[in-house]
Amino acid sequence: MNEPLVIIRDLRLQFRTYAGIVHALNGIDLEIYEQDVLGLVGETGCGKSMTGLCILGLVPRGGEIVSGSIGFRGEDLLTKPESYMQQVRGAKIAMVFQDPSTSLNPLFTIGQQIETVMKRHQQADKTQMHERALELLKVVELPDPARIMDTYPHELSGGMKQRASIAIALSCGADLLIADEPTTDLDVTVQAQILDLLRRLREAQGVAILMITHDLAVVAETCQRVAVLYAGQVVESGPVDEVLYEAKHPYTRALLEASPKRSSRGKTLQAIPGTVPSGLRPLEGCAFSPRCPRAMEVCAQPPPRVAVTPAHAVYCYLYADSEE
Amino acid sequence: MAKAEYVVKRLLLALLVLVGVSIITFVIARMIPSDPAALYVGPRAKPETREAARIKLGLDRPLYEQYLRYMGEVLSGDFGISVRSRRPIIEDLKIFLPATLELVFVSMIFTLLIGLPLGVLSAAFKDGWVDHFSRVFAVVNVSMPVFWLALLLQLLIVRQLGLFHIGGRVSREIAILHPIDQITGFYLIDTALAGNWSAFRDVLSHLILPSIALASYGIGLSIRMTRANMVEVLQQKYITAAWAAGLTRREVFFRQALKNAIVPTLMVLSLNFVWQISGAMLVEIVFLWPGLGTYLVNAILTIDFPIVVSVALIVTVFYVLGNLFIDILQAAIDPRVSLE
Repeated sequence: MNEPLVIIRDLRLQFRTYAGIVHALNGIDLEIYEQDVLGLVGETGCGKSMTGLCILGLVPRGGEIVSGSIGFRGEDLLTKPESYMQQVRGAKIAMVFQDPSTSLNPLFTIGQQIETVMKRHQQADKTQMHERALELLKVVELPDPARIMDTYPHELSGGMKQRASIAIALSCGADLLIADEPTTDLDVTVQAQILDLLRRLREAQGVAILMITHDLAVVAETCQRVAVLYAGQVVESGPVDEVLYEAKHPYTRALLEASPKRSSRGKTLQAIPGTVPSGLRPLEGCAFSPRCPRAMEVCAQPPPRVAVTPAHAVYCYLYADSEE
Repeated sequence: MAKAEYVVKRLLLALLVLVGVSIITFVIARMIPSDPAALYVGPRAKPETREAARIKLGLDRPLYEQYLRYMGEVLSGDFGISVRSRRPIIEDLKIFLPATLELVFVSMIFTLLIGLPLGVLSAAFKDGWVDHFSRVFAVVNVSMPVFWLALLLQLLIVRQLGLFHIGGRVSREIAILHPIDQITGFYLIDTALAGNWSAFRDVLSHLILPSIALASYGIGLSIRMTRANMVEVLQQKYITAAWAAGLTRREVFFRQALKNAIVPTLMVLSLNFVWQISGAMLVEIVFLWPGLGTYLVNAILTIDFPIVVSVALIVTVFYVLGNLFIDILQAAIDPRVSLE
């Protein structure tokens, strides 16, 4: 496999709130390879979207990255000034959001929105940009691109809006596309089409994708690699086949048990007992241990990284001795 | 097509409103227990003279007949005669209405140039020093009595600093040396059309202080309204998307976000604009501005009801047109607003 495009190491993000410091990300380690699709799965609030925003340098108000590094093509983005990040955003790293009906500006036409982004990052005259925008709408398989250029978001269906926002995201030839739950708010049939489109775009445009989702089926369908997040920590990461079919971490296994599959027809799905720990307390040891059926005393210590195979890593004491 | 149809429909509705308002003001004016004929002939007139005046003014006819006759005259540009000065009202309006409109327009420019950017910036840097400053500035502007601000400006800027003028529309020397041809009644336009630049500069510098005084309320209002709407818009997903696309602050704040936040501010400002056409009296009096507000107040105090009715009609026309303008503007800004 080629060099990683993005290397995230020990990323820690905290929020100051009136209730105290919320520990949103507690040492995330991730690699995203060129032209690869990395799935980032986990429950609501585990820090998936925050990880995406951190890569773009868009930490929400009150948030602060307290340690770590985000390497992008060998440069640590966390050390870069805002002006540099403005050049990176949209041009090298782009993002697609969950709900296309709120992530497109309602008062500008699709064409205007594409051209605004292109004007920001590229030198081109009006006709060239127009041509390129039409081309993009064709690439995302929107029918009648010339007409779509002049339509406003509310005139399009959910699936078409998401295609349009993908076109905007890809307008400046980004190397990395962060897709934050890109299909969650769409109809099931449209979901499949959008996922299919993303898969083909990866091949055709050579763009790497960080697929943020809570849906393991989406991961199975689109991703090569996956990282499972729990309470702001990566608990397991590796190739999709290995992680989904030979899950090691008790949390990954519980998550799989809780997802509907063909074989679980007629059976009650297994819910994970307990709740996600509050981010208000700093984490010591494995965050999942309070809910883990196989927790041990040692789990109160920070879990070790155990390489199951060279590409498949799990952060759990259960596998610690198999290492030696 | 649809837009033109809408405008026509709205204008017809506006006509209906105008008829209603004209009837109401006309009737109220006639209900006031006073005798216009007595005012017309003066205090020491003989009863026969007064009776003759009553017939001349049509006051002996039934009310509806008086109204129809009045409206017929209005439509042909005849607003009647002031019972006090005996001047045709239309001649007065030709002086006072453009004077007020010019003042209100220039003050609107100040309002937009100061209010909108400060509103945007205080939302963009929420809880920062710009925000704190503009909050205090807005509260002061909204709560300060406008005549007091006018006096203060005269005292500090004219008396102390010797800048601008204490009142009036044009300096006497300029009026004599570079007389202004009254074409539109808007002195800025008239002087510019005539290329009379020394008069233009003089007119402009007469306009500055009264417009600032008049603008202060709108400035405060637009700062607060723009800020409130901007704060809400800036939390929207499409703004996060705009940041994620690498757009600059100026682009995000002043284009992507402001376009979504500006409509309520424009609505309020347009109402304020129309109100000022007859309500700028306090500023007009302090700055000796020959405006419609002063004209109206004097007419009310002297029971000169043809003037009161005429001004009410004119203000209604502006009110209706202002609302129509804002509705069309809103539809132009927001494609989701349908004109129906």
